[in-house]
Amino acid sequence: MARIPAFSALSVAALLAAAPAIAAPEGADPSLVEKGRYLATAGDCTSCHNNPKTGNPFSGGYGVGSPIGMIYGPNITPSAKTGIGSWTLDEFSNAVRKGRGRGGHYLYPAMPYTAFSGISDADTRALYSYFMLGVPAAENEAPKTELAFPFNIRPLMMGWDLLFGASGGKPAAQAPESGVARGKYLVDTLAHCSTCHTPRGMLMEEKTGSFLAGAQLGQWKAPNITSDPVSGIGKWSEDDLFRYLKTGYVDGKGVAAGEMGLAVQNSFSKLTDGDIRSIAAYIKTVPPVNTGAKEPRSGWSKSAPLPVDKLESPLEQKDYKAFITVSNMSGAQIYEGACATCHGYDGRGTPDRVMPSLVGSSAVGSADPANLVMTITDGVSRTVHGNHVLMPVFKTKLNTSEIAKVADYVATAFGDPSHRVTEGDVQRVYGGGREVSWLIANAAALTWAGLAVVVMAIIGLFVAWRRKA
Amino acid sequence: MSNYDADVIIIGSGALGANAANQLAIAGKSVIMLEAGPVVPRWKALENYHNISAKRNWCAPYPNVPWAPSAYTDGYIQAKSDPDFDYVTSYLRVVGGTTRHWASACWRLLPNDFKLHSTYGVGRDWPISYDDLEPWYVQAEREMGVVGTGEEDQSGQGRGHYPPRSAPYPLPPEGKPYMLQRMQSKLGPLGYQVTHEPHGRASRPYDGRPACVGNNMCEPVCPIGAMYSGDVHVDKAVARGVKLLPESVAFKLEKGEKNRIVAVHYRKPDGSDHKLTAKVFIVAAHGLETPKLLLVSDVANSSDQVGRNLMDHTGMSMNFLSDEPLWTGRGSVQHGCIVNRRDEPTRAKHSAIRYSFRNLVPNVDVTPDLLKQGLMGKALEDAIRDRTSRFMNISTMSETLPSPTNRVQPNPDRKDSIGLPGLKVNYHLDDYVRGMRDQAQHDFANFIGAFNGTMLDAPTGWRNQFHIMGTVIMGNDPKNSVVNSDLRTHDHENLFLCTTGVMPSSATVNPTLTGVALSIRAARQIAKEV
Repeated sequence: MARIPAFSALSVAALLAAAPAIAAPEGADPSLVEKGRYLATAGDCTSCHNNPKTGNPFSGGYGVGSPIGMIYGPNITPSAKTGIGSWTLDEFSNAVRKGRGRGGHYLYPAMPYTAFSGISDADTRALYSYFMLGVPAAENEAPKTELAFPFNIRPLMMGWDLLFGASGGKPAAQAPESGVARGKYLVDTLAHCSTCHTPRGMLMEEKTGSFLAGAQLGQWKAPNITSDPVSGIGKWSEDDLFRYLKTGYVDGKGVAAGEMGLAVQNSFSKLTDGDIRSIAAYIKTVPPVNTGAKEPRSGWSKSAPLPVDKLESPLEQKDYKAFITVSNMSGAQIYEGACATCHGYDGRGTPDRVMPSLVGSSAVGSADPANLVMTITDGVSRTVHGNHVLMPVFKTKLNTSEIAKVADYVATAFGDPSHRVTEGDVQRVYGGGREVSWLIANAAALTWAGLAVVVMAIIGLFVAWRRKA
Repeated sequence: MSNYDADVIIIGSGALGANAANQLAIAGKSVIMLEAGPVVPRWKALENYHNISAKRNWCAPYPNVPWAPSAYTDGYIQAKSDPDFDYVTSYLRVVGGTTRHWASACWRLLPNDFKLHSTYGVGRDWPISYDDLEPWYVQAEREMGVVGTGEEDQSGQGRGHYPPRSAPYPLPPEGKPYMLQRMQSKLGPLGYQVTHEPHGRASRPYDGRPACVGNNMCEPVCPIGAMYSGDVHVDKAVARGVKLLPESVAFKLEKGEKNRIVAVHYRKPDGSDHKLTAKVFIVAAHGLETPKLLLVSDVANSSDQVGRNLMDHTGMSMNFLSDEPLWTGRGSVQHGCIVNRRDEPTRAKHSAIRYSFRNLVPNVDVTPDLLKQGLMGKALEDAIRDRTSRFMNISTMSETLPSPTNRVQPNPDRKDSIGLPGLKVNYHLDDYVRGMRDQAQHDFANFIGAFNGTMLDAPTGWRNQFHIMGTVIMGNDPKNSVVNSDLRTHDHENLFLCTTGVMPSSATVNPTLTGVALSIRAARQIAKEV
């Protein structure tokens, strides 16, 4: 990472020379562009700052569905008009590490500044150099984030920031180069794993003592990835973790889909092997948190093959309704028609694993059916190292009841037979969202009632108390 | 739009209708799509396939409903043909249309196919040229995710990369199955150009479809949705707000002032009648059903050409046993073909020919004969394995010419469950088609010779390929054609026909890609007008 390909530095220099009107912003260093590009990949900035309309990775407009409303990732290309082209290094640093926008307004913590707080000064400068010099300016006015009362009052974030604003710690004096320390630096700051994997408290803060213990992420579940052998992934080896982050797939253990599929595609798979190994090593050291699972969700090895003789019975052409009616089809029949061609009658996929095994997969083995239901619903599409892995979307082919039936079949035949899935479960998954605390859900009423004042007072007291302590 | 039920009503939800619907929805138009048949999701069709006995009847996994009988229903199509040829065709009446059970060959016509009359003095010219349609072929190939190589001469005439392309195929060719490698190495030295066949079975994940892994059952249903089928665009259209009305059989187009079409009347399976209005109507109801609807409605037929000029790729087929294993069945059901005879000077005298290689697992083909021989047990198993490994089928895609006496008409003597007429077909083979027999026999003999083969079925009979063309023929002259090059009927400004029935020449290639290209082109034109 320290080595910067000469041609890149040269080409940036050439670009600057060719366009003397655009002076290099102070603090942006052409020799840091490649390093910054790598760090931006590690930070997966594109996941929230992409433009879903044009596919531009940074020109903004992507909407993050949060419990308090839709928050749009702004344009972070160096356009002076619609992006961050006129921002100084300090302003950039404040936004990334302190959650303060230009002019000091408060950002919402959809921007993971709480994690980014620990990024070193040198890495912040490299990121700034990349975004100023290595990213082409693109004009796009991203939609304004307009949250409902009281969350539209940004200064409310002041108290929140005082309490929770620096979970990633103080800026590292120097980014560690290797080993577990390097893994910790990447996981805690740039990769911002806790943003999705750490459960949230009453005020949407990351719960202390529950680091990476699993949380609801929209309709998907970001599972417990602590070292707990049952609730977490303590039974995964470092090699398993390495392969998962590098390719998105570990046979018999897990498949990266949903947001994690994108994180592997856009970020983890593009890191150096050394950094991925450091992350894996560190993840193995994350203190175990028992979140109550009875069995590990991955690594299940038993399978009950499809009872074909019980499923098939002769169809007569004249009985045309039987060719159309789907309401009486069982989960096993739906599996046979929709899934078995790829995943096999025994759920073990193909021998070469081009079609993955369901047996052992964490989505199948989990007591929480969210990721199984969502994988069937939305499919998998992940391009890693030029290899596009695709499972089709099934929401256009199966209704809620059919998805429940087939999820129930898959969960019980290829995972724990006690993990039944009902239509109610599927509806609950689709309802999605993080578990919203009573405080957040009733924030408007509370505020109107003046209780917010009390809340702020309590927060103030807290702060005073913590400062003393 | 307040006075209409929709901007555009499309009758038929096959690949052509659904692509038109999708384009119009992208352009922000309100669209209703009627479909005579029911919704059958892919997984249900596959379950049906598991449970039927007729594994080689490509219609069988799909419902044959009494209000929209399939082509295989006894008496639904009453055909008069020749002593040595029975007119049989096959199409589906189901949401997504007949591409639900096709093998997905996605060919472009050759430039000469558009000017058959001026080049060879036979048949008709199109009112547009290859160059006019070329950009729309590109669009259609992208919509359908066509796999192909632009490196070959698809005309077989040593023309280099041909026909000319303004953009590469969206997907690269798949690996060559062993059978095709053997065809190339044995027939190539004899001068036969064995080329890749462009098709719609994704070779890489494409547009939400997984890559083909060679389940070898494109027909009757691709079990994983790797192969393009019309329901892809039905889903896209519906997601964009198109209203799909399945089990709704259009039976009358109503004329109003200025000869405009003002409404479509449709009947539900319970016999109830309904009516919908729109600014523009598209009939995209297959090459036989479209002329039927026009004729019963008495529209678009001032030329008396509706239902006439019926064409197919009626030709011959041959099975032989090679002296070496070819192992057909690895990959998908068709791979490769021989293109030498697609555009030769002999086209002035007889059909052009393209030879198509079938690549089905042939157990079903070889076993009945072995049973008749009385083989049982291990001897039977060994014989099946041996013959299956060496079985090969090659058939001709033979060009037919538009003839007004080859026609389809409604058959008032045969009514379906909701009282709508069946079809009468008159289809005879003329000297132009029959004239290619010597050429085909000569080539077949060469193919068999190259593999020291044993003929199983002599290529004596004639058979259709179920590619319907000509029945609502396109042309510039309203006196002898039904639609213009925009697929607009000469008689009704707001009535368009999206069907391969518009094609004035049949050429030697499967017509669907051309049909989709024409449909997209027509839809863009309609979008400008409504």
